[in-house]
Amino acid sequence: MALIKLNNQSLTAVTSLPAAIPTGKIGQVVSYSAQNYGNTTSTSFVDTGTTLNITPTATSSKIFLTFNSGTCFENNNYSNFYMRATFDRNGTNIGAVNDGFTGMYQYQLSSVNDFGFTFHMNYLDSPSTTSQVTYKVQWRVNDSGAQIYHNLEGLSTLTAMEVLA
Amino acid sequence: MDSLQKFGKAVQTLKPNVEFVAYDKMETEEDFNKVKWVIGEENKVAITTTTNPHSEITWKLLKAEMDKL
Repeated sequence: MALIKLNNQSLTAVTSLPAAIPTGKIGQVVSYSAQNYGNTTSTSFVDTGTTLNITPTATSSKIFLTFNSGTCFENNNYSNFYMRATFDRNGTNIGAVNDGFTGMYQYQLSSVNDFGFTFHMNYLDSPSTTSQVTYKVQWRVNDSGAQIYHNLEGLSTLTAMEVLA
Repeated sequence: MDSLQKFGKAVQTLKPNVEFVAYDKMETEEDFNKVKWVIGEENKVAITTTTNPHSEITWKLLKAEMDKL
């Protein structure tokens, strides 16, 4: 049986693409959309329930993550609101330990203290693996007594795009 | 106001500043038993349990508070 070899190597030994093959293109897209409604008062990161799996085709690939969700804040004790969100990769927060990737801050809300907004978060990750990677969206409030509602209206969407590097 | 919003308000009434995460709905004791209660943290990631550590918060008391809302 004929064996196709690249630069005299078997396919299992090929770890990078020849220079003539263009890179920087999207190799695959995985998306998760759901009405997975959630509510937390946690001041440390917990799962929103939004998660997906993707298996990169090369260790050099990057994974571009995008997330959006309708979110509502409710605060019983404070007029100021802080929330933080992050991406978790295989059980590890890949953002800043305390602050994650991004957050939301609102100063001196009224006494009603219900505040809705659309929340977005993006990140270009370098997982450096060809094994399956599980990404989760996590979030937390900053102050005890505050609550956030994830996906209060409509769908939340998490999308992962493999960028061939 | 839906059941999860009522749940959040009722918890705060029974025991302020309790930390939890809940999903989907809060209509039965079975839903209540799925609540993840925060009992600690490691590197700012929550450590949770579905075993309710708060004696002040029972399904019966919670349901009574939710029904007032």
